[in-house]
Amino acid sequence: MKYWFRKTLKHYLMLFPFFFFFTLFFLYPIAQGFSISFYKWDSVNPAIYVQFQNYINLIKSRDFIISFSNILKYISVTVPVGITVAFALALFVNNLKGFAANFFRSSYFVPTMMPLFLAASVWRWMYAPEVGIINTAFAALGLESINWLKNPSVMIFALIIVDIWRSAGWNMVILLAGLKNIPNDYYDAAKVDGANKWQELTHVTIPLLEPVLFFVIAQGFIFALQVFDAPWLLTLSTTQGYGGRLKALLFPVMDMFGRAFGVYKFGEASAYGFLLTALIIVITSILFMLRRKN
Amino acid sequence: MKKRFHVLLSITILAAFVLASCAPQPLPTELPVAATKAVVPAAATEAPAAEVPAAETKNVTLEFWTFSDYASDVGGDLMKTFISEFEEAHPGVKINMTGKGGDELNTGIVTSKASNTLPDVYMGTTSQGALFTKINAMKNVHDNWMAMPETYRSQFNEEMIGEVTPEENAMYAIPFTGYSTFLYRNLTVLKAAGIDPNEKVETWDAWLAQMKTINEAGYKGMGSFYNDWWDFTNIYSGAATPEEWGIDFANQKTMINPDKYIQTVKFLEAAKAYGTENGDQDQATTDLFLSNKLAFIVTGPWMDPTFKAAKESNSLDYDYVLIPGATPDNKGGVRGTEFIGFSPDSPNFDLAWEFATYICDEPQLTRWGQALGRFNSNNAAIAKVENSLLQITYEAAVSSLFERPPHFVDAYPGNYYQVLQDNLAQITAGEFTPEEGAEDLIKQLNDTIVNQ
Amino acid sequence: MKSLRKFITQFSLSTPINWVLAIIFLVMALFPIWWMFNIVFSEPGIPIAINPRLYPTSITAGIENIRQVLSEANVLNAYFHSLSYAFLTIIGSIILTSMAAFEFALFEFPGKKVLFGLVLVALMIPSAVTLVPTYLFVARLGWVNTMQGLVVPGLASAFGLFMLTQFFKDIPRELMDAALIDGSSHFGVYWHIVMPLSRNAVVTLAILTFMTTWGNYIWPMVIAKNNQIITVSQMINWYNDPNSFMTVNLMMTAFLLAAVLPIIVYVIFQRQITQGISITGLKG
Repeated sequence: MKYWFRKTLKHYLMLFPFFFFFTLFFLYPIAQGFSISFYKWDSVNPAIYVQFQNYINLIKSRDFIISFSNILKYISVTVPVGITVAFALALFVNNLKGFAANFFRSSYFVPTMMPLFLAASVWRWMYAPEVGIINTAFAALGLESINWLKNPSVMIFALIIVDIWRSAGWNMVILLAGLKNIPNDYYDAAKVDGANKWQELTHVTIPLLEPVLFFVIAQGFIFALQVFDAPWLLTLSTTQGYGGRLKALLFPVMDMFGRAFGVYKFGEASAYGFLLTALIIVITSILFMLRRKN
Repeated sequence: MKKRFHVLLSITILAAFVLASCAPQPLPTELPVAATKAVVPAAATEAPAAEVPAAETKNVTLEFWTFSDYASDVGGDLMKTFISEFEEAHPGVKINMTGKGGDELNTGIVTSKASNTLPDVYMGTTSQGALFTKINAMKNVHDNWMAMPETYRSQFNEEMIGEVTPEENAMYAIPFTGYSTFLYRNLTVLKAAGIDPNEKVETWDAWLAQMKTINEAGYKGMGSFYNDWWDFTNIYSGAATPEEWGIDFANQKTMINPDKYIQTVKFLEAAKAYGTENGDQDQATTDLFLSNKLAFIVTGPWMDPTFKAAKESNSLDYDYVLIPGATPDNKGGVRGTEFIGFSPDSPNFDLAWEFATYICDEPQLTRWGQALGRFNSNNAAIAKVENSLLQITYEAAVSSLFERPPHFVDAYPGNYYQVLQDNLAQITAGEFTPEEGAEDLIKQLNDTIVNQ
Repeated sequence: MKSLRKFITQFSLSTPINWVLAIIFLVMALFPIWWMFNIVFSEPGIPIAINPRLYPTSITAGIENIRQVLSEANVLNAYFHSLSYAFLTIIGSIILTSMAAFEFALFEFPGKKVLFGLVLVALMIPSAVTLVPTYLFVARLGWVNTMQGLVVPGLASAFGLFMLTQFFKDIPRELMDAALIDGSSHFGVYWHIVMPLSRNAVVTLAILTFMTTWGNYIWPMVIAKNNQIITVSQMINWYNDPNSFMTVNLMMTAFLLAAVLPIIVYVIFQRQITQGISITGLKG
């Protein structure tokens, strides 16, 4: 008995520092946040208990519906396309050797190394209508200038481009490691069986890469669902007005942030956060279930 | 054994959650203001601010927030000069100046109040006055003001004093500076399009005609005014009177006149064809102006240094006029005033008051007006400043609309202007006709005010 | 012979189309940095409409820009604060997560699954959800506008814990057992055996932590409001505000300097970074 206690104690002593801070600065705020979501509170006046009113208000609110439909639109494009691009890059770099491999791999990774807030600001300038570098290039090719950040139908694609530009490098590195882990024997065997490159890809590479691919996809969705920095900065949002024209780039985290620091409805913002968490859990569970079925 | 342990662990975690579920409370106001160091009872200050009285030696740090452009460049250098002058006269006192962008400043005041870390003295705009007083972030300084000698108080512009004194015996700040907007014209572009710059443009129709000519000559008229409510208001002001702008808090409705709104939108839609899609305030539009491709920019005196620099290097020829209105008797433009406010929780209020009254005094505001070309609240100072920008700022102020009137009555709903911007976006995207848009706008704005 | 076959295989998989696409993406990846560089190294007065900044045109202007930006006290402050923030977070984070990862990777103990699951859940909760309550808690501690307010909430990193756990699993048991037999304490095994062997892992964690703190936008925005503690990520607000004082070229210079630092770090520590990221993927 005493032995068991002593044995376990030494483990818990090592774990203590981490979990002390984890509880204090993560679990406790989450619990607090959850309880705040049942109150109406603007941080100055006393909190008023409103039960589920915040949640009900949210679900009926137009902005809430817009932000959730935007996020679903966003993740359904950026994750598949982004991972496909990353995968293509990984395949490409995988076949290079020496200096070429290093150069391409590092270059593709540079966008990921740049802090996101910087990238978003630079892209905002690049997207400027008529005089921005992209539209200048369009003009040189005889195409019309596109108002990337103010034309509601185009804005989400402008955002997706920035996101893919940024995440491709990160995903590529992981996929590359996975590719390098596949022993050459599998490829040799496939060649012996007379497979062409496409069949190699679908019958050898992808199945063997599946765990890594799944990890990248799951991680991709979880991050995409929490998107904030890029759309916030691309639309020059402030807490008094955010989401861009016609709220084309309104996303859950932005709306949560704006409700907290723009109109000081902290209870509502907390409720928002938990609804978003629910969505993340649902989507992650769906991914896991789909995987198990395969 | 193991099972007991697991039970214990689960109970602990659950208990932590339950404990954390206590109702959130605002932080007790007895928490010390985090910013100040050694607290020494402040000396009673009855001395007039014109002299800077010798103070006892104490180590106090005042936190001072101001706008980012008052904390850097020309404004910043001048402010730092004032600060060092004050610090010299008050040994042991240090003033920490932090510059903040507009939105940051506003949010910062609110969050600091909630966490009891309000700066001792800070600048703000009258358009946010109601919000700040609502959360008790502004000290009523009426008695302190009246305690100042008559010679000091009479220097000040009565109208601006009035703006910060919503009721008898309630004065919440010292007015500091003001701005209003006007129209910068690129004379090179005008001349190249065959327009005589001396030709007066008195109506929107005339202005549109000019823009058409400019466009036909291969140039651009002006930028887009749909990006921000502030841009839009600059133009709306040319059709509307002050009674057709703002919120009627008593009756909980917006004062925007739908017909004037429709008129403004139609003008902007027509101007769209002759201009650029870049927003009027965007760097890109400034670039087009500077490279002699764009004729008109609507903005305030703060852009003048950039244009002046370009003029001096002979690449730009420009002037400024009042923004044309829909009819000859009306002009466009937005105006705002900035004030110096004080934290009601600060133990260093007396020193903060001294500092504020010092920088608002005539010698300081004269230097300020000379350097920045913004009008300020000190008439005596203004009389000494010669700056053509001042002239036009005063003229423009006459027919400009305030950002968020009425001041110090009630706070605007946080998303009030977002509604306006969304409506403009819907109209320009073709979802609404101007008439439908106006109808929807009034309804949405009223809803926003009521549901605050 | 085998190497010749490999050589041919390499080239036949890289058809011209692949190369074209790869080059296009290469240009896209590098262009923004290149463009920033050009803006810094060109005459400021000339508007972008005239000179789209496709290549640097003036070295002296660039040097002047850099000099001006670095002499602006606020900018230097911001860099210094971001560096301190990153450095302190790295140290604290490494200590906390390595101790916990040590346990999760190498030992069994009651409650292990529960605790690990708890951390897993943490990854799925958006940090924005905890933002307001954490802010209020930190404010109650009196830590607003302080370095500890900036650093401490970010120390217990779930991602770091996962990464180190995977790395630590590779530590050979025999070494640990030998140490225990020799009379080493539990902590001693951690300190004398596991940590020295995990230099790579720790370096990787340090670098990834650096990347995240350097680019952290929301938290400093909320907690670090005074010039006394302002970070690099808030320099953006100086420019984005329409009434601001900074011109495009100065702002870009500040941005370029802020972007360059992580890139330099990356170039030096490439191997560790890619290894660290891949390992989480491989065993994730």
